[in-house]
Amino acid sequence: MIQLIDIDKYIDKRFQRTFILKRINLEVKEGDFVTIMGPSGAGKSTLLNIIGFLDDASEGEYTFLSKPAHNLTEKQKSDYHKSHIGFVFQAYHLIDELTVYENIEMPLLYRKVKSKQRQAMVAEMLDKFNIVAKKDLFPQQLSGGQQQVVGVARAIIGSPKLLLADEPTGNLHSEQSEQIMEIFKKLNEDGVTIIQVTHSEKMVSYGNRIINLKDGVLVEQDPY
Amino acid sequence: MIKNYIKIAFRHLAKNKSYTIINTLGLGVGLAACIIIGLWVIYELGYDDYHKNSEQIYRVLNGDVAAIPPTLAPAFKSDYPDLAEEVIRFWPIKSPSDIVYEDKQFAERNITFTDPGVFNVFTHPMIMGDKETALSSSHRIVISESVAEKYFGEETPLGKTLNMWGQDLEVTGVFEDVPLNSHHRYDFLVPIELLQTFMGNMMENWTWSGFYTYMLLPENVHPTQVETAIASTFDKYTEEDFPAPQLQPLNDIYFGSAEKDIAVTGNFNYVFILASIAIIVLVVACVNFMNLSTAYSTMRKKEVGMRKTLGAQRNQLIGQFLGEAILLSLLGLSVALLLVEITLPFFSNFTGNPLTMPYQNSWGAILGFIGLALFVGILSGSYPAFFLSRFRPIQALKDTSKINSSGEGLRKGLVVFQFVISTFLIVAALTVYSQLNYMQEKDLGFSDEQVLITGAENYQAFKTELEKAPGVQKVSAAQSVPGVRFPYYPIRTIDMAPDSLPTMRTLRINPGFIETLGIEMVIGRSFDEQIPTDATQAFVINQAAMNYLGWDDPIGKELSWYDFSEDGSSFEIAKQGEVIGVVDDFNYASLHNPVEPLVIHVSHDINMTVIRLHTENTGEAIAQIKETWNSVTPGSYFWYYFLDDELDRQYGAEQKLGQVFGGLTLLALFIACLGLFGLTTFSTQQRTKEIGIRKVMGAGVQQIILLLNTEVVKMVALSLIIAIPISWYTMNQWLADFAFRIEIGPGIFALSGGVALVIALLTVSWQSIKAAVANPVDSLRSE
Repeated sequence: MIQLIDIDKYIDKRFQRTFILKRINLEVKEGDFVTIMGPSGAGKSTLLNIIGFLDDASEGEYTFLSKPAHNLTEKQKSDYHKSHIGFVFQAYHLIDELTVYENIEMPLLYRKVKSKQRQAMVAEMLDKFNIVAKKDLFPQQLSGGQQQVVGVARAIIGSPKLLLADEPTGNLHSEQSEQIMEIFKKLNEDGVTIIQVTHSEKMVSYGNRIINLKDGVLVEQDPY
Repeated sequence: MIKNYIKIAFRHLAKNKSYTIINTLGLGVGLAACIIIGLWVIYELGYDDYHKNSEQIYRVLNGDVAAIPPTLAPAFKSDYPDLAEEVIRFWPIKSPSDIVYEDKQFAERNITFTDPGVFNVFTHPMIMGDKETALSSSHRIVISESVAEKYFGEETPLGKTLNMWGQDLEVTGVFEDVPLNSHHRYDFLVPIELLQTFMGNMMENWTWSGFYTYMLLPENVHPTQVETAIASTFDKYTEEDFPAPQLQPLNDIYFGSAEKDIAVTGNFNYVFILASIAIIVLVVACVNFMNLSTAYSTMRKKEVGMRKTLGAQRNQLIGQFLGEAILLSLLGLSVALLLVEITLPFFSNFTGNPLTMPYQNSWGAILGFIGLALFVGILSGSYPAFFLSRFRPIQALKDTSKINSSGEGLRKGLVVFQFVISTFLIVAALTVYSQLNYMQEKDLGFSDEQVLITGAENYQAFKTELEKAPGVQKVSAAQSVPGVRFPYYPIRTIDMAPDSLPTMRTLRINPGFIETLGIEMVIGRSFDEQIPTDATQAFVINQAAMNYLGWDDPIGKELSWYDFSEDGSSFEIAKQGEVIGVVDDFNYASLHNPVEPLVIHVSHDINMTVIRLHTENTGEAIAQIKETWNSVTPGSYFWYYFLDDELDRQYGAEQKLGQVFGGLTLLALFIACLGLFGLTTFSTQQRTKEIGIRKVMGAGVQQIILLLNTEVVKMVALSLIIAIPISWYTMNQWLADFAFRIEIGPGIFALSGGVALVIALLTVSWQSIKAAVANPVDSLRSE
């Protein structure tokens, strides 16, 4: 599904080139649940952003669903965002001015889903994550865990093939974290490819592959 | 989708109340100013448009003189019947005349003699009577609706008899009142045939320039054709040399005043200036909007990032933010309409233009206003939309709490721009005020206070009685007084070539006039009642005339003064005599013009009594004068005015300009301050943590305030530097219209700068002080 060949990401400052990622080679197959680990500043988030088209690699080849993807236009990127990729963030990034219902609905608006169908889909999500009673609340009225549940619901409502999660449990306590990871596991069983970035050893166990990054270099794959 | 946009827009507005209020209020005030000034401009530009054929109506000018001989119209009509569908003359009566109906009697000002074809040229719908025959014989009169009501009330006016100048005139028609946006005003139209019975031969005089002539041209005739034809008519009938005739389009009359014009005139420059300022005020409001939305964009960063991550394209985001801007400007529009509703009556009253919101022809107006709001929304919303939608999602999501420093330079630039405009307007308003003040306070060369002007019928008896009255100091009379244009008459001295006959402004007075007004004699003496030759062969000139004639020692110099001959057909010497004195160059006309050469002599041809009152008990003195008037001229209407009031009225246009200017300046300043207030609120919020840390480190309240205010002082200083040269240049251009003018000194700039600075500091200090005295523990905890 995803193939990265010799991906570099660097910043040129005066006469010095600082590498954030260096010679990353990685293949992710459909149905994988990949965990990217590594110390702070190792380039985990950058790698995730490149995979999710939020950032561009400086050099290297990127193939997404067997199509070259290192030179996409804004339009193509947003098309991929609309139909293939879902994001979950550490800080949830829900829109404060919208209710739970409206936050979950938003991706569908960009995909021009009809109103009736939208209602059905959002209702299904609310039901699935057991947040029907909270649908008219605003994000500030929810706990962190609940916000992240909404964030996940928003990410998968468009049935993406790939779910990218950047420290999804970083702001949550353990009970909430487990709830989210259970959701991920279930999604993965349903066929969604997941790549997550995390610090927590505990969360690793939910995935089936581990990638270790150190100073922008891929040091270890699948240590088990 | 749109529903989602609108929802999020409203929630955002509801959440950031100060942002919403500042923007709505700013846009509302700007739009209101624009709408009111716009209505006024449309009204001014629409003068005389109500005539059906206004495109084909022209007024005949001789050179740039509006008044021409009465003979042209009939001669042209008979010689060139194909070139004009109708030619008519107006001869408005210049001083009030009494109109009598049974026991009712009023002194009326708006009486005009005209030809019967007047209704074919001008559109004045008849309520009663037949417009074809209404003025077709000499003893008829046609009156306006309001006059009909004044004299006849409920009775039918048709067939009634009004008495004017001792003549019984039959009312043969009633027309709708002349609209206020008309360059001519008349309530009574009297056939010119009647004037013939008073003037006799004068009506055949080719040198009596006193008539205003209008032509209705057929559609296929070009004005230049007619101009040539008029020129040849003059050549055919008269030896006199006339300047080349011109046809002035009816719609140009209001803004293009001509010499000897009696028309109501406007000043196109002022229309232009006010329209520009209104637009500037609106631009300032738009700038505010841009500034605040980009500043507050930090709050929307996360939203933009998230939307992009979910697949929103840039143009969708631009559409969303533009939509929000339009929504806000529609809110502003509703505030504006409310403000207009409240202030329009005052503004109408103040400008004398009956302005109304054009809700009657509703759709056009409503669409127009919505169009204006859309325009403002797009104008002010496009930059913020562009700015907001530019955020890269990854950065937008990463540091949502960080100060949004991008665009800060631009924001400061926009604030400077607003203050440049505000400072410019303050300088302009102050200059206009100073010039007005200067004109009103300037020593005119005579004392215009406590001088009452009234009629001069039965003058000798009136004077004798008045001099006994305790409230009266001095009494004299004249043909004209300062503030009224003195007419030109030909003069000649022995030094001049025999064929030259230059004209000079002439004032005819009774002895004592110079003393009553307190005009200073520079050389020689004034007229003396005791010296009989002073009335028959003596002249007093002013210094300008002395220079014009090139006399170093004018006393005793010979001068001839010309007037119309008995039959009115040419000029002849009416008075010959010596110069006995020279008066100071007193300002007898408005201070727009330099003092022109003037010749003064004694005459019985007087229209106005000039009375100097004692300073106390003015009211009592007026009552005495009125009583005296009624006893010496029974049945005649008593009118009066104070000379200083009338002279002030010469600067009415400037006064109005000054006041509107002042008002708009305040508005612009208000809007700029709103914006500054919004920005400081925002930036102090952003710096709460910094201020907290500084205070923990030992900074005092004063130091914090200083820190926060320095920025503003710098911006205001910069805007001063930019605004001063611009305003200096512009206001000097404006002052060039005045022969007597002030110099723009550093004082005005210092004052303007001071005002701008103080207002700016007051605006930001509230926020700065609040931030500075806040307990640092609170601000640090919240982070």
